[in-house]
Amino acid sequence: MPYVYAVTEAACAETAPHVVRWCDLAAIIGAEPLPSDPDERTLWHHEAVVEAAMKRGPVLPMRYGSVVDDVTGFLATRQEEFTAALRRVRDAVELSVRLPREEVAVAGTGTEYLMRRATATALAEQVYAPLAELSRASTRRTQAFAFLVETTALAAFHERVASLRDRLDVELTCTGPWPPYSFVES
Amino acid sequence: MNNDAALVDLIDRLLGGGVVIHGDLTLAVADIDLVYVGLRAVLASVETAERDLLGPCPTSTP
Repeated sequence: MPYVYAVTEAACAETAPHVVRWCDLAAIIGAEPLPSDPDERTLWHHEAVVEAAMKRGPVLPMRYGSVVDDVTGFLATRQEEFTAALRRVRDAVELSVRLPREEVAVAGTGTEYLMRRATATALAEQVYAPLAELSRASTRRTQAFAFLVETTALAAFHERVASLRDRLDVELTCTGPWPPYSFVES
Repeated sequence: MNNDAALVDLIDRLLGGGVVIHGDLTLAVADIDLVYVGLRAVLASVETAERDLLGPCPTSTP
């Protein structure tokens, strides 16, 4: 049963090794499913296939472990959704920005804990807002943010991360560019 | 790219993000949600252990 790595545009998948096409869409597939208990090697393998597809055009990465019986039917039933999503992520990549992990209050009073929480929340906002401004879309969890950044804005984004790191004296971890894993849903 | 940071982000994306399949015509190979929760728990405990060795992080306390 085919393992699906990503959905892309048919026009961008001409040179890809294993592809199922339906109208303007194409699924990048593998004949064998990847193991259901992923390790570092198998996760990076999935990522490498998606990144190769990303070099050729916009991609919607699948979650690891996606096996589809009827790939054509899969593309057909979700055609509208995938076409719109591909338009949203075209010419953009995902970048991850993380703040240092929040300290768990093991000592101190409840008030101290709440004050630490408030400080952490304020800091997160000071990092998130200026980066979201440079992005086409963004999502946030408490200490981890994802930004959909246009490829032409990448240099400016990295510069702003560096300046926030200096100005706020906070250890920001920025990784990417990633395929848009966090921006495939509308 | 820092390797540990990249691995955390890789796991968050491949197991917590991406297009999710649903419906009758598709089958997921495994309960990836459970794998994800398990891996995140391991990573969190590793990070906690490292932090305890290094002492509290000065940037996240007032």
